[in-house]
Amino acid sequence: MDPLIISGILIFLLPLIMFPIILLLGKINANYRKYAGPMATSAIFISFLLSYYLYINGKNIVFEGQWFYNFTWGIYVDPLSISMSLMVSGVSFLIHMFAIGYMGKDPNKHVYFAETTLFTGGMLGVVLSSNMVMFFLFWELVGLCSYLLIGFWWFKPNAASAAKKAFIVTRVGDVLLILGLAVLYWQFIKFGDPLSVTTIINNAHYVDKVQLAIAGALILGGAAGKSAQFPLHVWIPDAMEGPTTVSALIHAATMVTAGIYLVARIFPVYIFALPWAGYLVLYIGAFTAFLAGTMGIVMNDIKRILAYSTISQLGYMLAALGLGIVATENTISISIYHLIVHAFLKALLFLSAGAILYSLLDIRDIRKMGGLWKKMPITITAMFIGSLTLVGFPPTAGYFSKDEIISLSYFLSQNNPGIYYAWLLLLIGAFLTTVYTFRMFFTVALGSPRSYAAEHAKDPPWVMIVPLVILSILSLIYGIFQEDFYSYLGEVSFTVPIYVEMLPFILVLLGIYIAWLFYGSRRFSAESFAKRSGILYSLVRAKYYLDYIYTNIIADRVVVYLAYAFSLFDRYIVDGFVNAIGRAFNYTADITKRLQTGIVQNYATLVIIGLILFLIIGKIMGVI
Amino acid sequence: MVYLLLLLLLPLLFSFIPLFSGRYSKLLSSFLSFIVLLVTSIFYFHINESFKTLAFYGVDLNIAINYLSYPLVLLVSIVVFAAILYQDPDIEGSYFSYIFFLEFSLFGVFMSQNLFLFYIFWELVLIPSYFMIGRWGGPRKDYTALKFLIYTHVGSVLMLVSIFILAYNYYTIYGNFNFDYSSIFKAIPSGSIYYVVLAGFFLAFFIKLPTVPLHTWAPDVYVESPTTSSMIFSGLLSKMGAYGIFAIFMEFGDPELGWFIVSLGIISLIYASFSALAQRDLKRMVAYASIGHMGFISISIGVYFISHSTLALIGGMFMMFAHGLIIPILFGTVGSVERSTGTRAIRDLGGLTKMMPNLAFLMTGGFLASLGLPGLAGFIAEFSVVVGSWETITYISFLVVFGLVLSASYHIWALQRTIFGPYNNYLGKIGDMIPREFWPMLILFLLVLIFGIFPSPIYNLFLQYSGGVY
Repeated sequence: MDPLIISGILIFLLPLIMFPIILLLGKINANYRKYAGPMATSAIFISFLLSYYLYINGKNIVFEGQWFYNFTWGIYVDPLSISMSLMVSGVSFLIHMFAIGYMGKDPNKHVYFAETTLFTGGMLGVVLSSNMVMFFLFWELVGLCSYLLIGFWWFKPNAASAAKKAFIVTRVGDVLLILGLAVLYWQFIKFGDPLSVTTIINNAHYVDKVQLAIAGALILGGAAGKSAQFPLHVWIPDAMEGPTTVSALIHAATMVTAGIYLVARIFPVYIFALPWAGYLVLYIGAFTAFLAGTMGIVMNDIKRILAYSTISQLGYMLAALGLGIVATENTISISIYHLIVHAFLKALLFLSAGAILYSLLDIRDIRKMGGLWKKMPITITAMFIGSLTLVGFPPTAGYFSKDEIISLSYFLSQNNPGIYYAWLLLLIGAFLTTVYTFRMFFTVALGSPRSYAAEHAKDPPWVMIVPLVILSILSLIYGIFQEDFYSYLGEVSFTVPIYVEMLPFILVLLGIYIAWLFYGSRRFSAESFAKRSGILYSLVRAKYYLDYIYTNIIADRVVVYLAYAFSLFDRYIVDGFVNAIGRAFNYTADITKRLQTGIVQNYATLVIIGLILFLIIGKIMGVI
Repeated sequence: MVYLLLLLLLPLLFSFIPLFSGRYSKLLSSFLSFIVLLVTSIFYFHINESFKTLAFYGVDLNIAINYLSYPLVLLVSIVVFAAILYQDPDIEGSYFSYIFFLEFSLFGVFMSQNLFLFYIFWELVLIPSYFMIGRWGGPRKDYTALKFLIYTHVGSVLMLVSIFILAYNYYTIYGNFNFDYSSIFKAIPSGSIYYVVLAGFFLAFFIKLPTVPLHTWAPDVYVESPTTSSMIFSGLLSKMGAYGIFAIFMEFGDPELGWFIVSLGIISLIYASFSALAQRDLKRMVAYASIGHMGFISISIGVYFISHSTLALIGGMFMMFAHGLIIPILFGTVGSVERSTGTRAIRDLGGLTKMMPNLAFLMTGGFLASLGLPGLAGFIAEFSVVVGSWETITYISFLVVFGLVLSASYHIWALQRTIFGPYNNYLGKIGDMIPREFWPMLILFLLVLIFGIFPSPIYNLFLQYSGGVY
C-alpha cells in the first residue's frame, strides 16, 4: 500500500492502540504509571509528524475499503482534513505535555492519559474518515471519551452529574445526526456507496433540494450538540468539572470543533439545499455567538467564563460557514482559520487557567483571585496574550480571524439583506467578548490577592510553562500565515469600507475601557450596576432559564413522572390484567371443585340431572 | 450431512454428564460447553448443510444450518459457555444438565426445517426453563415459573393450531402431509382463516420476543432467575421469538400488518424505556432494557413488510446477535453487584468504582453497548434499522430516535447512581468481581467490541440469507 495511505491510517490508529497499552501497563504495575504521560504525549507527537508528512507530500488522498453492507471505511485527505489533523494533533500534543505536570500527582494518571489518547485518536478519526458511518463511529467515540473524562473524578457528585448531562445532551444531537445520515443515505443510494464523503461531495447537486435541506437541518442538530450551539449548548459549562487539561482538550483540540468540521466537510449538501438551511446555519451561529457572550459576563467561575467564550467563538465559526452557504461562496477557509486560531488561544487560556488552579489548589472563583500578575508573571502574561487574541486585538491572530468574519458578513449583506442582522449580532458579540474577557483578566491579574491561596501562588514547573510559551507565540504570530492558509484551503477575497473594518476594533477598545472602569480601576461597582439592571440581570444570571427548563422541567418533571406513570400502568394494568386472567381461572376452579364432594349420592343426582337436561335439549332440537 | 445431527445431539448427550460428576460438575460442564462452542465454530465453514431422514406421514427429521440459523446457533453456544463459566461452582450438577438440555432444545429450534419439529423443540425449551426458574429462582420463583410456563405456552398452543390448519390446507391442495418450511407455506390459506393462522404464529413469536403489551412474563422471569439463568433467558429465549419472526413469520408479509408491527415495535421501545427509567431495582431495569431493544426487531420486520428494505431487515437480524451478546453482560455485572454488595436497589449503591474497578469497566462497557454506542455491536444493528427504515416511515423515525435518547438516559443515569458519584460507605468493604465472573463477561465484551468494529463475518451471513443484494 501507498505509504501516504498507511501514514494517514496510522495518524488515528496509533493513539487508539495506545489506549489499551497505557491502561494495561498502569494496571499491571503501579510503577509504570509514571510512563503513561510521556507515552501518550509521544504517540500524539508521532501523529502530528505523520500529519505533517501528509501535508508536505499529498494534497488529496482517498482510500476506501469495504466495511459492511454498502458502507465503506477509509481515509479522506484533503487540505481541510490535513489542516484539522495538524491542529488537533499539534494542540493536543501541547496539552498532553502540560498534563504530564498537571496530572502528575493523580494516582490514576494512567487512566487519564489512556483516555485522552483515545480522545485525540477519536478526533483524528473524525477528521480523516472517508465515510459518514465511520465518521459517526469516531464522533461517538469522542463523545464517550468526553463523558469519561468529564467524570474522571467520578467520586465528585457534580462531576458524575455533569458527565451524564454532557452525554445525554450530545446524544440528542447525535440521534438527529443519525436521521440526517438516513436522509442522505436514501438520496445518495443511486450513486453507490451512499454515505461516502466523496459521493456526497461530488453528487450533491443532483439531489432533491428539499431533502438536502432536511438532511442539512438534522445534521446541523448533531453539529449543534457537539459544538455546543444554541439550544444544545447547556452541557459545556457544566463539563468544567473534569480536570482543566480535559477542558482544554475539549475546547481547543477535540470534541467541540467536530461539529464545525462536520458542516464544513459536507458543505455541498448545504450549498445545494434550499436556502433556509443556510439561514438556519448562519443564525444559529450568530445568535449563539451573541447569547453566549451575554452569559459570559455574569459568570464568576474562571472555567465557566472560558466555556461560554468557547460557545460564542464556535458561533462565529458556524456563522462563517452559514455566510458562505447563504451567499454560495466558499468560506470554509475563513471558518477553519478562526477554528485553528481559536484552538491556539483557547488552549492557551485553559492551560493558563489550569496553571492558576494548580497553584491555587483548585479555587475557581475569580473573586477569590486577584493580583496574580505579580505572583505568577509567566502564566498571567500568557493569559494576557490569550485574552488579547480572543478579543481580536491587532496584530494578534484573533484580529485576522474573527474580524474577518465580521467584515465578511457586512460585505455579503450588501447583496443578501438577510445577512444584515447576523452582522449586527456578530458585532455585538465581539463587544461582549471583550467585556467578559477583560472582566476576567482584570479580576484575576490586578488588584490585591483576595484569598490565602492567591497570596501564595507561584508559576508552575517548566513542563507546564513550555506549552504556554509555544501557544503564546502561535497566538501572537499566526496572523501572518492568514494569506497562506487561505490559498491552501480555498481563496476568499473581499473588500469592505475602512470604517466597517475598524468598527470591531473600536468596539474592542470600548469594551476594554468599560471592563477597566468596572474591574480594573473599580471606579464603578459592578454589583450596584447588576442590581439596577434588575430583571435583565437575573435573566442572564439564570442562563435564560434554559438549564432550568431542560433539567427541572423536562427531565425531572415530564420524563420522570411519565416514567412512573408508565411503570405503574405496566404493573397494575398490563400485568394486573394478566394476573386477573390467572385469578379468574382460580376462582372458577374454586367454584367448580365444590361439585367434587366425593359423596356417591351427589354424583348420582348430578348424573340424573344431566341426563334429563340432555334429553330435554335433544327433544327441543329435534334430535331424539 | 450427518455431523449436523451430531451437533444437535451433542448437548443432549452432555446434559447427562453433570448429573454424575458431583463436585466437578462445573469444571466438567465448562469444558463440555467449550467443546460445543468449538464444534459450532467449525460449522462456520459449513453453512448451508442439511440433514434429512426418518419420514413418517410427512414429518421428517429435517435439520439444517442456514445463513439465518448459524449465527443463532453460534450465539447459543457462546452465551451458554459464558453463563456456565459465570455460575457459582457450589450449585448442584442437575442445574448444568438443565442448561445443556436447554441448549439442545434451542439448537433444535434454530436448526429445524420442519414446522412439526420446530414446534416440538419450541415446547421442549419450556421444560428446562421451568425447572431452572422454579428450583433456583428468587423469592417469587413459584409464581414466576408458573406464569412463564402458562403465558408462553398459551402462545405456543395457538401456534400449534395454526400449524395444523396449514398442514390440513396443504393436504387438501397437494394430497399429502408435508411440514417442511420449503413447502408448507405454499398452502397459506386465504380469507378469514388466514387471520387465524397469522394470529397463532403472531402470538407465539411476539410473546416470546417479548413485545409490549405481551411482555409481562419477561421482567419477572429475568429478575427472579439466578444470574446465569437470566443471562440465558434474556439472551437466548427472546431470540426464539425473533428467529421465528425472521424464519417463519416473514412468509406472511403484508404491508398493512407491517404498519401494525412497526407501531408495536415503537411502542415497545418507548414504553420499555420509560418503564426502565422508573425502576428502582437494577436488575429489573436491565430486564426492561432488554424488552426495549426487542422493539427494534419488530420495527425491522414491519418495515420489511411495508417496503422490503433489506438494510432494515438485516439490522433487525443483527440485533438478535448483538443483543444476545450484550444483554448477558448487563445481567452478569448486575449479578456481581448483587453478590458483592448484597443489594440491587439503585439508591443503595453509588461510587462502586472505588471498590470494584473491574466491574466499573465491564458495566460501563455493557451499558454503553446496550445504549447503542458505535464501535460496539448494538450500534450496527440500531443504525441499520434506523437508516433502513427512514425511507419507509420517514418522520415516525423521530419516535424511534426519541426512544434511543430515552435509552441513553436511563443507562447513563443508572451508571451515575451506581458506579459513579460518592461511595456509599454503608456498603462497607466489598470485593471486586471474582475471576469466574470477570473472565466470561470480558470475553463477551470483547466479542461485542470485535463485532462492533468488524461486523461483516456475521452481517454478511444475514445479507446472504436475505438475498445478498443491497
